[in-house]
Amino acid sequence: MVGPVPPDPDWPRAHTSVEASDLAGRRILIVEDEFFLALYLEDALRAAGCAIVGPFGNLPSATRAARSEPFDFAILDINLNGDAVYPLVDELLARRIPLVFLTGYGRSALPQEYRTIPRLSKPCDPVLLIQEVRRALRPK
Amino acid sequence: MSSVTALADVLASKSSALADVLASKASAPTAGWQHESSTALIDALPAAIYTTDASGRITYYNQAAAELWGRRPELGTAEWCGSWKLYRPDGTPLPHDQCPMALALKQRRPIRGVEAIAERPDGTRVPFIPYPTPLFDSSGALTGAVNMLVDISARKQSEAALDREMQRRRQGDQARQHLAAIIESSDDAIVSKDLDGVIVSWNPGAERLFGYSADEIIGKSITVLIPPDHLDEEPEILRRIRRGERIEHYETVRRRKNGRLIDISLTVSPVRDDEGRIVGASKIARDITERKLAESRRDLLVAELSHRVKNTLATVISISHQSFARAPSLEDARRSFEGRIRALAQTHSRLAEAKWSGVDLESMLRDEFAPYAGDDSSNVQLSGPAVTLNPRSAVVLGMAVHELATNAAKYGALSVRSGRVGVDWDVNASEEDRTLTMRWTESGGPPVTPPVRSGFGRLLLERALAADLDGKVQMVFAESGLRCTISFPLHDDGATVRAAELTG
Repeated sequence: MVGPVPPDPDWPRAHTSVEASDLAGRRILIVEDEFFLALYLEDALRAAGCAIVGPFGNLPSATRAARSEPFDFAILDINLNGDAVYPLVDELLARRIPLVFLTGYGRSALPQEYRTIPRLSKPCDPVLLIQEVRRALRPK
Repeated sequence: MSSVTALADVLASKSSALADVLASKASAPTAGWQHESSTALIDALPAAIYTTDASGRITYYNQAAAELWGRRPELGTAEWCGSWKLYRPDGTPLPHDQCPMALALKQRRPIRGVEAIAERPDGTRVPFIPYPTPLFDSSGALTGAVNMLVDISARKQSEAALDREMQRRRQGDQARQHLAAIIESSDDAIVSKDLDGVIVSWNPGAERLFGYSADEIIGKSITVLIPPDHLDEEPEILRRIRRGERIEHYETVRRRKNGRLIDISLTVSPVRDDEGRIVGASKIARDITERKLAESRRDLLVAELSHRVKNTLATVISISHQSFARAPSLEDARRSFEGRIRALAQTHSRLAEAKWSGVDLESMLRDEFAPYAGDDSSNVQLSGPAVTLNPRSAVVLGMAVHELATNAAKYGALSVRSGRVGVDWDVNASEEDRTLTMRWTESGGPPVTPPVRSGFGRLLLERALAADLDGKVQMVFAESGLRCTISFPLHDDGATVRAAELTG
């Protein structure tokens, strides 16, 4: 197996105003059915010090992992090779686990009940992604 | 006419006396007072009456006859009839010696039931019915004839008027029948209702569109067709109709008998009675479900296209990141990155050509080998059955083949003239799945040593194929040349088909 890309000191931390260390060790579930997109997220999150759960490319494996592995935050693609991610979203909302959608679909294409969930548009800026994770995990 | 006939018969039955009177008046003016008063009586009658002798010469006519003829023929000279010209009812000329009076004299019998037309010298024509009756003396010898001409102009005029009226009605009926036929055969639902919204008429188009038969819905309120959340539309429609307004191409939703909602376009016009009062409305409803469906399909496709473009751009960014993070030099990274994006674009072109249905494996391989194949293409051997890759497989396998081919061109079999690359594949069909197994075999190239660093190509082959295609990849860095076996299940790509469910 190929290991992760060694953290690039200039990326993406160089673009964030706050030290990324506050995210160190936070576990992030990645559900994304396209390898290269998932890889990019992994690299960005690892560079910010996060640990990755996944990535998972289909709903059954993502759901199994979500039920068995601990994690603090979820980044979810909506269309998983034709399956909608919403059943998993419902579980995470019930468990009060913060999440963000990462999708190429516009907000209006989402069912009404999921439109208030934070959404990042593909292709996403890693800076915005890290900001979103930090905002969600900030102690209230 | 029976009274006229009776009069003519009376005249005929009194014929002897009358004829005597008239004949004597005409031939020998020795009339007594009785005669005088009889002549005055006949002169005063509004019916045209004249007499002839046995040879048809006119011996007497009254004032009404002179008026009907428009002339005063000479007594004892004019024959058969005092009219200037005669015509048959069909307009053809009727010679005087063939007129009903001539026939009565020649055939010695009364002529009844015929019509003729007299033309006056001024050109006006008078249709009339003659009642010519031959007269006989006590010994039975023909003495002459009496004729009464009944002017039927007024009757003819009213008949003509009646004919015209009938014609008009027939045309009206015909027009109504045409309209009824159009309404009957229209694909559109055509319905009329009164000002309370009660359905008055219902065509077969309405039956087809809404599912109710005319029998079950006429007399019911139009609101049975309106879904609860659109009920407020009807009072507004009726208000506008009462004001005499027409509502055109109003797009709304109605409910069929079976409960299914349908998209329709409505045109509603006021219906007026003979006095111009608005008494109801006619509505034409057109089913626009198909059009609405096409519109939503188009919206879905646009959303899907936008989604794919964004995904592709995200992939490009990720490939860029990986290319530049892993390459030994910036120049090397740039070249690799551009090649990868070109390979991606090529797969997209192939997919677009096939309207995203899939890509043929062999043509995809040929595309990738095009820059490296020798003049006779003998350095590349492809063999296997026809296989169509779904869009997702095509994109990922296309990138993998690109990495293998560029690697072969840089370090492997395609870097020397003597080198060969063989690609063969087959499909194993089991109960649940069809699995494609593709074997890549290099030979004749420089000796191979396993790479020390894991580059983009291995990342793609070892992880992307597993992650995205549920594939298995085996790489053997044999000294004689790289051998790589890739296998993955060939699914139908459900992504596009099921995208509809995502967005509801």
